[in-house]
Amino acid sequence: MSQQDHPSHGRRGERVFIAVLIVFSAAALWQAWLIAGFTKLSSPGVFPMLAASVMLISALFAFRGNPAPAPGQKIPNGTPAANDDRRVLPARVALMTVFVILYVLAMPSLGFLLDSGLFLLASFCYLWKKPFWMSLLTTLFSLLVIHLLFRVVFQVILPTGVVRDLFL
Amino acid sequence: MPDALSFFAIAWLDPWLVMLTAAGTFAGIYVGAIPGLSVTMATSILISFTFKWEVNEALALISGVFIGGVYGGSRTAILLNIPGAPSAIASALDGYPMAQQGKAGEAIGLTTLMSVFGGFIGILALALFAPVISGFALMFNSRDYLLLGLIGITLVGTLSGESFAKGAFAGALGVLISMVGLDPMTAEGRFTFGSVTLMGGIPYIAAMIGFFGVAEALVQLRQLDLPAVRQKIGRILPEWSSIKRYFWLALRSSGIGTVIGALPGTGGDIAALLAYDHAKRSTRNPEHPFGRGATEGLVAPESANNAAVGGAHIPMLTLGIPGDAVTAVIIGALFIHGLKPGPLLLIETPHLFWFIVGSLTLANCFLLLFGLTGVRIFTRIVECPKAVMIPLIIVLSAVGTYAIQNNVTHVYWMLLFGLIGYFMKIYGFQVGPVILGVILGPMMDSNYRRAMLGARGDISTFLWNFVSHPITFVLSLALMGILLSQLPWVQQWRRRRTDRQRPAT
Repeated sequence: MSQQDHPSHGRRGERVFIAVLIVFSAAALWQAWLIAGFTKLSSPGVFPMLAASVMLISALFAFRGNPAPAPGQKIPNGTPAANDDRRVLPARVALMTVFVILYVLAMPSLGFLLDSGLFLLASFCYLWKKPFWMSLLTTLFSLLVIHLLFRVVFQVILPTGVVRDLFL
Repeated sequence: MPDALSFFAIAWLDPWLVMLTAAGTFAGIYVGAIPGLSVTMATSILISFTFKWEVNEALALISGVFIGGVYGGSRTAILLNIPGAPSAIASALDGYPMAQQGKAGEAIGLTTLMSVFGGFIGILALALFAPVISGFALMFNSRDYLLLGLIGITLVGTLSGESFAKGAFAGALGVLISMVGLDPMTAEGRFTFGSVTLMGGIPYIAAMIGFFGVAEALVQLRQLDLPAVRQKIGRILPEWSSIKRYFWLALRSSGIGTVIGALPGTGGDIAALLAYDHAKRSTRNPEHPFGRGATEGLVAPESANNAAVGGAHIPMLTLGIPGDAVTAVIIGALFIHGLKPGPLLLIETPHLFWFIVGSLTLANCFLLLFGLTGVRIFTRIVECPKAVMIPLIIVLSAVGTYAIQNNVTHVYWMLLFGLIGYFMKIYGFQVGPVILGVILGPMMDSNYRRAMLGARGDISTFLWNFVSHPITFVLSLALMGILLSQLPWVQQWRRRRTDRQRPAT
């Protein structure tokens, strides 16, 4: 919970994000109403309708209150907000998000170890800015520790993927 | 009484049982502290080893894992802002800012001491007041549980963040997420869109790891170039003056933790939040404002959530009702070992009750030992380069989510919640209320419907019941007080009053 990480002023795209939340809340309210309508006050649809209503009303309030900063609000020196990149999705975050999506989607077919190895190596090479062999060694060491901890100690069955016989 | 003492002593005198308790506590602390590994997961996986063991051996390990796991969750909350368990959500509010100020060693030292103190209070209550407290808990009805859930979510929505509207949205979103799946009372589909996958619901651990693990990792990427804060670890043991200063707060928070933990269906998460709120309201001049590294904001939830462990054993052992997700797992393990948690447990198998009390006490002593000795190594985590830490957090989050049910769909959920959580964090929405909503949503829904059925569907009777029953009335007043305190004119009045007091002090 980075409650003071990001100040409420000057954030691009916030109103668009809240507008999306309003549309989502309205759609959720509609779907909640479809569950059982207003037939009974104890029907399965009542609580979802209440939750969606609170979402819709609070999102409308948030939209109305944005982007007015809280009175006296300051960005303390040294906090992440003071040094933060003002863009919503900086290139580094966008590329890592693509890495994470590919990592998760490829897990069933590639298997956990191979997939995680590729993800860690690619991420270390991109983020760490150290020689390739250091990234490779760190990846191999991390994989060994994770494998020992989860597969050997906790006996968690991890996706084996195409290289079933190699990584059990 | 001599019998009780001899049963109590078994846990302390058998070297093998002492070793198992120590191993359980150690594993609980470190597994609970690994980002992506929740205490529920640690408990369920570690307990699965014990199914073929003797009852005493299994109970010794379980006690250690539970005590260690609840405490361990706070370490990642302090060092990485990723609570290892819902009960550590409140600890992150001030613990993480303390670590950012380079006071991680001090924070963990104080956390350890207060957790142990809270733990002893909870165990003492379990030993002395189990029958009385379970009787009081039985007086709570469905309306009261609904109100407790609402108070829990509203509290975390008001405690931090930049606007109550955003906190309320986050809490309601969590409740909505928890509604996905088949209705447990009528088996009617809710938000399932005919999909079999959605009928099974969305596991809260996937949501928790997504919102806290993946989203936090992505947010941290924005500040990759910032140098890691070097932690001052010169002093771990808190000064005597600090202990004296926070003693009464820790005692009050432990009381809150014990009582809340003893209520069936509520556990360390609500206990920690209520204690945090209590600290915020009762502390006049904190050294740092709450949410920016107030020591009181760490002492209160930490003593409360460990006190709730002893408290949670009360309904678990005397009523057979779990206090939270972890105790639900433990009850399952007790049944597998042939025990029958419930009102007859104290009468039929008193030796097991006292053995559990002995094991918990011993585990609490080991917590002090392992908690204070491992700090130096542990604080090195934050000095690890973020470029290495962030990809590892994502991998651990993925494997932790997958391990819940060996289901890759849960990992997809985790990814989705991680992405949503990233934008929510960027735009000042808190993710704590979302998780609380996901966990408490089903409990609130079922209790609301029971209360409504109890009122025979009549809205006026339903509302009248909120003022006509003493416990319900007190809880309703508390909820109203929290909501009213968020009104703009009340906030302005409080701000003016604070400004007036400041020049005087």
